[in-house]
Amino acid sequence: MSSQLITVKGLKFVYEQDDREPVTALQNINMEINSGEHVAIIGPNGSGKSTLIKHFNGLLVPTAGEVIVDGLSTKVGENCWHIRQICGMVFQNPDNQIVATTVEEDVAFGLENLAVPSSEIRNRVQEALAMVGMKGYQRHAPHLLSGGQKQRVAIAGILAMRPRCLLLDEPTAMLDPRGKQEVNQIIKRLNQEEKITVVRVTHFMEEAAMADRIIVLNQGEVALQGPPQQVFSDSRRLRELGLENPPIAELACQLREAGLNVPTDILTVDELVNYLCS
Amino acid sequence: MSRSITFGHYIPGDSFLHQLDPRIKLIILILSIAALFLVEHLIGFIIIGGFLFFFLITSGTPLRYFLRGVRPILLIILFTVVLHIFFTKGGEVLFRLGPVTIESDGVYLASFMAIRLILLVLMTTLITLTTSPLALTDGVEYLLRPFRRLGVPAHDMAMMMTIALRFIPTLMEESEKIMKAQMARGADFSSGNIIRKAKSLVPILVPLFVSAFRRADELAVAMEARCYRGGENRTRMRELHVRWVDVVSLFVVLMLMCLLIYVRIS
Repeated sequence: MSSQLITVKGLKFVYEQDDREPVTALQNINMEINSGEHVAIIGPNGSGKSTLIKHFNGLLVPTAGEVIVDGLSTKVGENCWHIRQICGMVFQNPDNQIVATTVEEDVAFGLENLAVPSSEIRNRVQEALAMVGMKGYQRHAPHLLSGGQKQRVAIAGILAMRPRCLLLDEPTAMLDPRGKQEVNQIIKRLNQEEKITVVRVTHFMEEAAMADRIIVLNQGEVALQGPPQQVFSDSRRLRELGLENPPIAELACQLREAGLNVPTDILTVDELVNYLCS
Repeated sequence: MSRSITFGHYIPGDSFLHQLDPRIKLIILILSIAALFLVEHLIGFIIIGGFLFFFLITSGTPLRYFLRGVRPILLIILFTVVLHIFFTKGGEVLFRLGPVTIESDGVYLASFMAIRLILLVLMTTLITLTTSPLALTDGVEYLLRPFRRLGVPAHDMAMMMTIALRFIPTLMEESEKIMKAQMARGADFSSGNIIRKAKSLVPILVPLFVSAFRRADELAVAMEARCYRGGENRTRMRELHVRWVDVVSLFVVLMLMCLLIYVRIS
């Protein structure tokens, strides 16, 4: 399946502020995101990553150009509810996206908004909690959960709405290593097993390396685009953009510079081990 | 810090009161408060107090929670009592010191007010201790629904309550964090008179408010991203059902009310 889920055409976005000069956050953006794909968006601070991902569910509307999700333009106001149901979004701070005082109520929040009948909500809440491994936490108060658990609840809240695409805006940035790992595993599984499209903004190159495709933004424009192996093989360009290779790719790169004939597409420990031992 | 707040401090259980429909509980609470102010004889207080005491005991909640609920208003009670004792005149003069007299009507009214206030707080505490905040907000929303035509934003108020309840612990945690951060920078919160203490809270409140506004902003975006568009066309996961127990309880309370009104008139 490679049908287009999100199409971006000539997107330009200008932040208008009352007392300051307007700032152009994004320009000349053209891209497609296909169903089932796992895309990572990386780039230095202020490069427009979060602004871009907020266009994919109509939280922001382009100043010029168009974003089309599932055949619907985000510019048309009525479309946005359908689009937001298809493209669910999880934010960086788990505390600031949990609305209700218990886990199950929070997961149900989106479904209540979609006017799903009460009995159906219960089933879907159970199902979504099981998908993120949070079964048995229905009655827990969110503030007593760990960061990773909170973020999983937030993901469950989106999954309950049965989206086709997960938009993740730095979902692991505020988590400890363990929480990060939990969330990453779930994202990977949802993409591979449930065939949910994943678009993720991240600062961590190891996470970007998990994607099928990486889009590098710089100063509001697409600077590089391609599979991780290709993007990370160009370490000089990456450094110019203020980004760093994932540690293993960096190690491979240094080995290469030291004269060892290491291929350019090595990203994980396993791949490097396999190569070195073969 | 967070431990001293009894309001909304729900203690799970399965007593009769726990199982009552929150709407019915709220109506009964309102009626009972009205009853407290209708009562003019000690006997009335004894009846209401008796009922209250029965439910306090059967609710399975440790009594210290109730006492903790009364503590914050002790000052108000004391104030009312003092005012009444010294300024309500009438009846026999019980005590005289120069121009200051204590008269029997004053003592009578003072004790009445004290009992009233204590019973009132105990009732409210009993309801909040036996009703989960969720059920309570649901109850408020349902009860306010008929007033929507008059422009009462029932859903919005319930949503605000939910969000407030959800964020109280988060903001408490944050204020403790800020306090420690300011202490690390040499702030002193414990010494000085009341004005100095109040002033020393400013470096806590300012960052707390800034962060609360930032949180509110992010939460609003997150709610929008989850298709929130107000109370219209919204379903609920938890639906409230009135059972026979609820109807009977309400009926009993209504009968008692009628009795009180009858006693008062006759």
